[in-house]
Amino acid sequence: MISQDVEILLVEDNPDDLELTLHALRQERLANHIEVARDGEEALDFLFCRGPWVQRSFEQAPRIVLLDLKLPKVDGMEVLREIKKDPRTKAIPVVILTASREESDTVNGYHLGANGYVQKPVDFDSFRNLVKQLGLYWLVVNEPPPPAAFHAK
Amino acid sequence: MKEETTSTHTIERHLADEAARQTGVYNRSLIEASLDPLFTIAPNGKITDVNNAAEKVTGLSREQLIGTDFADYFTDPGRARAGYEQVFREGLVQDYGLEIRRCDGHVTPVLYSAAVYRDDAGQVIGVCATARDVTELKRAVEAVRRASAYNRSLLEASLDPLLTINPDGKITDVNKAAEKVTGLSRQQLMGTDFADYFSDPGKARAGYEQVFREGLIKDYELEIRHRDGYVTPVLYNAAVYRDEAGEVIGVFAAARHISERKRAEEVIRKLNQEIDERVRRHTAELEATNKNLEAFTYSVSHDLRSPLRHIDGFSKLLLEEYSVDLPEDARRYLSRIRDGTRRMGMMVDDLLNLTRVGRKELSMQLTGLSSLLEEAIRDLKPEMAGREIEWRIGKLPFVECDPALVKQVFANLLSNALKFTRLRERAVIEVGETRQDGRAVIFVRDNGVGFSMKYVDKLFGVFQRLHRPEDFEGTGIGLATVQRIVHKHGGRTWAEGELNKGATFYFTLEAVESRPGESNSLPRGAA
Repeated sequence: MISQDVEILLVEDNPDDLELTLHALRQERLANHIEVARDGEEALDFLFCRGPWVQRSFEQAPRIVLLDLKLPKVDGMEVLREIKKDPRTKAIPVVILTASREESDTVNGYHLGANGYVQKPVDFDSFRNLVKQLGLYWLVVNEPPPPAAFHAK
Repeated sequence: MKEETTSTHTIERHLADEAARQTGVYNRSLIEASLDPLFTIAPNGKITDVNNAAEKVTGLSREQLIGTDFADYFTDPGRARAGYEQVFREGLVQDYGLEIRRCDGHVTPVLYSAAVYRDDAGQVIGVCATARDVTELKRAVEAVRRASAYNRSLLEASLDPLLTINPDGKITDVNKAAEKVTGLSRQQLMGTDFADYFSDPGKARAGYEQVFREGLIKDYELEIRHRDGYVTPVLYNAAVYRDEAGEVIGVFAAARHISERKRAEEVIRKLNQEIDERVRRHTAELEATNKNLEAFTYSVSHDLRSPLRHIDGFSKLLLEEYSVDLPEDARRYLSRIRDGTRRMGMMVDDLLNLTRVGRKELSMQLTGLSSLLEEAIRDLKPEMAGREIEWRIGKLPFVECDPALVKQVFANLLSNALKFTRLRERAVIEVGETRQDGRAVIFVRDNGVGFSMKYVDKLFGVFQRLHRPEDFEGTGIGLATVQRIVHKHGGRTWAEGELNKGATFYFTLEAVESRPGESNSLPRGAA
């Protein structure tokens, strides 16, 4: 199954951001499989194995979800809330990757259980460096949750 | 015998005469002993006899008086005549007021009492009139009258309605003000129930009953009802008054109009209400404005930064991936595009920071400014690389402040100092405390390019810059942020500079201060 190999779920609605982020990730050759969700609903369908992803298993969780906050349909905070309140998905590391530096967003994000909060810098070099570090940390350094972490108790 | 008879007769007569004489002398002495002037008058009004006192009061002798007109010795002869005529007619008069005029013009007020006297046959032959000198009495009465008139005028002069009440609650006296406030005349008020003239008679009754019981009341609130229906709010002050024996005979009650006061209170209340309302409205507007500003900054934060990032990102990719295909100028233009986006990115970030400072609630705590300064200097290490900098750090106080924000003040001021001393071989940056009007003033001084005092007013304005961007980079928001933070602490900022000599920036933190070593249980400073 293709979904088995998904290492990064990139939730991003803006095509420019999407392209630049993917470019940075690919350039660093950190991820083989990146799944893209263009809105909150797509992200939840993927993570909760619904719709086109009904064949997916919860145990095949991405190593990291890079989550934009301002999203069509279901916004980023709502996606985060859904992920973190369900025992089958709450172990998935979620890093908020957003243009916003609003303190309220930071506070809400962490309250909802975000594993990280990263602001996209305007400067592309900085952005690329940041994406590289994120990939390195979550895909190489960090020990991912074992399958048992995704079982409903 | 006849002789004898005659002689006996004569003797008897003599004896009788003697007895009569003696009686006359006796009577005479009685008359003369009287201190009151005494006259006898014949039916024709002529004086037939007087005593010493009469001589004294008229200033004329007995001889001069007898046979003259009684009425002539009075200031009002007609009244004097009417007096004795009344006596002849009715037998007597009592306390008939007249004024005796002495020959030198002195007037003596007297009260006449007079009665007719008769001969043996019962025939009226004259009037005997005694006058009681009432000069003293009159003077006393006049004094009493004057005092009473004076008291009365005092009462009437009072603008406060005054009245007296007897133990039955009936009105026994009123002044003009009381007539005015009730719309009723003195006659209409006298003898009526005091309580009837109030909008709450029960309370009025309870009021005077309390006075009779306890002796007085103070500032007892009542409303006097005018006959036309409108009411006057008053404060009653009342006390009992007593007769000579100390017996309570009534209550004296004074009402103080409180209409004016009440009106003033009402005006003040309305003004306060208006102010409250205005403040509420302004606060609501401000809150709405703040919300809009928040929404605006959020959208600036999110929406404006994104396209900048895209411009920068794709320019970079173009430069990297198609560099060989691009002419030199194209590559230069692309890097200018990237410079522009980076600068705009900084401005957006600084603006966001400025608005964040404005919105942030201060979280005050007692903080040593020295350690904040150290942290700020540490954070600026990258900007000091390869430079010779002499730091002159003085002793700084402990103050109640928001440490994160005040650290930003130091960071911005030091960053400026570093920036504008860049052309100096040896930068000298001094930070210390001076006192001004007993208040701590912190200063940051440098030996940089300084500025002309001509432009000192522009320094703290948003986007205000005194240097060309190619000389000194910057967004023109740093000092505005410093000022915003200092103002939030209730302090103030100012600067002194001289072109090419250096600049000094000062700030105070209004918050309650403490010197090092003092207790840290300070009250929270002004937010």
